[in-house]
Amino acid sequence: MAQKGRLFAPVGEKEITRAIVNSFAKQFVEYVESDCIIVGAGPSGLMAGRDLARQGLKTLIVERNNYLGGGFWIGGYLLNKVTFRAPGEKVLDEIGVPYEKAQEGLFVADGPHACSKLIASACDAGVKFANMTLFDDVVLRDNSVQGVVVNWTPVRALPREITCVDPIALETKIVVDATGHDALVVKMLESKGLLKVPGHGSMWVEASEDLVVEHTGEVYPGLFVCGMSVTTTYGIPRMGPTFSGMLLSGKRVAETILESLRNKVGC
Amino acid sequence: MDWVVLGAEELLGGEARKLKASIEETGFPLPAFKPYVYRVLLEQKSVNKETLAAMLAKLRIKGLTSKVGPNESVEPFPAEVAFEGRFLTSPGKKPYGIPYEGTLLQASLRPLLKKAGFSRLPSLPVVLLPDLLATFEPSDRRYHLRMNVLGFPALISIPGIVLAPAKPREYYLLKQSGMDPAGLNRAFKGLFIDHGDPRLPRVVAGLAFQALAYARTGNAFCDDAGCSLYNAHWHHELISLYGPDEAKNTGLSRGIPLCPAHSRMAKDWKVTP
Repeated sequence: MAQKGRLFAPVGEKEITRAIVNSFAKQFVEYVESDCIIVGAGPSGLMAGRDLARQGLKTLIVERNNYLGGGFWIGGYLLNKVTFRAPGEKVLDEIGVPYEKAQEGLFVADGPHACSKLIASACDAGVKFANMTLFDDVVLRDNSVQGVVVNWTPVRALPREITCVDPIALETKIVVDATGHDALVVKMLESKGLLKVPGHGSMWVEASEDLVVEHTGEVYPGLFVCGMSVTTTYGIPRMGPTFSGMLLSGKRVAETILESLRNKVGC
Repeated sequence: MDWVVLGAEELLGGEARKLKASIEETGFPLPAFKPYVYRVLLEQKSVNKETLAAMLAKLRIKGLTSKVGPNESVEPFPAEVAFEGRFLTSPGKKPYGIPYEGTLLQASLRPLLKKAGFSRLPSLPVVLLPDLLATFEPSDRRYHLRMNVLGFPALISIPGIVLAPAKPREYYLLKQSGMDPAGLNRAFKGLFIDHGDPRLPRVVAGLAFQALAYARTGNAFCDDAGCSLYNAHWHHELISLYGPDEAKNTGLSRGIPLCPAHSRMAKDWKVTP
């Protein structure tokens, strides 16, 4: 409570530090084991996390950057307007993003508004985040992916000669690769000889955005792909800068995961 | 020679009647029209659904700049097989954009069609497909999209008619600068044959005639740029063949353009099957 004549409560530096560490540690300990870990907090990862958390799944999103949202803040050519082809605008209605109709079947929204609303919507649903956290490896057990190994992002910037910071592991039932064209988790499995990844196809081939959604799903036991990771995983052509495919791919992967988990427990 | 066109109704919808009219008006021997090829193969029990879906998934080309074709030893992902399986009997709903190895697809379909009762020549199946087809070009050692693949069976790619021939050079320069595909298509409307273009069924008729000519003579192409047997590589060549004005093509079509020699050839075939 604020003292008379002071705007803010009299809290010392040590109390602030304790609050940060305790709160972080409490959440971190809780999420050492979760239902689902999504690697990548771009539009498809956020959408997937939101829909999974809304269904009561304990969901953690790992993001290597400080900021969340990936490329969703801006559209093509660094312009901060993002476009959606029908029926993607229904997702905007769902999360409360205003948009304008550019032409029949094409809608445009402010990138900052759309991205911040999606992040907020994921947070409201109960998704927790580990940002500034680098995906380092997968936890493999019984021929299935059952977790991820992570480290602080800045560790990569440090020369190996002066430091060696070991990563730590987080266990989960499902891992989602939402790392965009990098497809980092899928490529990690490839490096272990468990998958063969062809790389994304030519950008010069026009392709239906539906292809990303149609190929969204489980690629290895315990590992699902969504968003642009799908194009790299299956070697299908890259899409242009519209975001409906990303949002609907995120929704599709959430539906597929929920179905998969229901099947596992025999419901 | 008798010939069979498979998949016209499913892939051209209401425009299939224009294809039939084009063939008839040009004076070709009229083909039989049958359903989409994979539907026929499944109905005739030439192959089962799982095997057919896996076969198609194996024929995908992963990136057109790839120097190597599909690798027989690499098993496709379950999601790829499932994707193919979902659209085996509904080609009109299949999203396009994945190129398939044209010559391998043709070789894979050959025994299946024979098993389904399509004997070798003089009966020629002309298969319309919702997929992109690509074949390897040894001169620059990479894959190129194709409108059709000639032989037995003859394959015609419907999205290939839109995407394989080159559009105006400015189209690609603008695309490279980041202009979105929908905006580009609006800006260049009329300068290339697009999906839903009323000229499309006549282009299909021309490609079907190329397939027939190749099957009968071993030579598919004509040097005359005003003949449908001309090997067009640019959209402007197709447009000069099938007419610059979309509006004039909206009615039930006229026949396809042929040079005098090929026009005589088409009529001779009609009277001497």
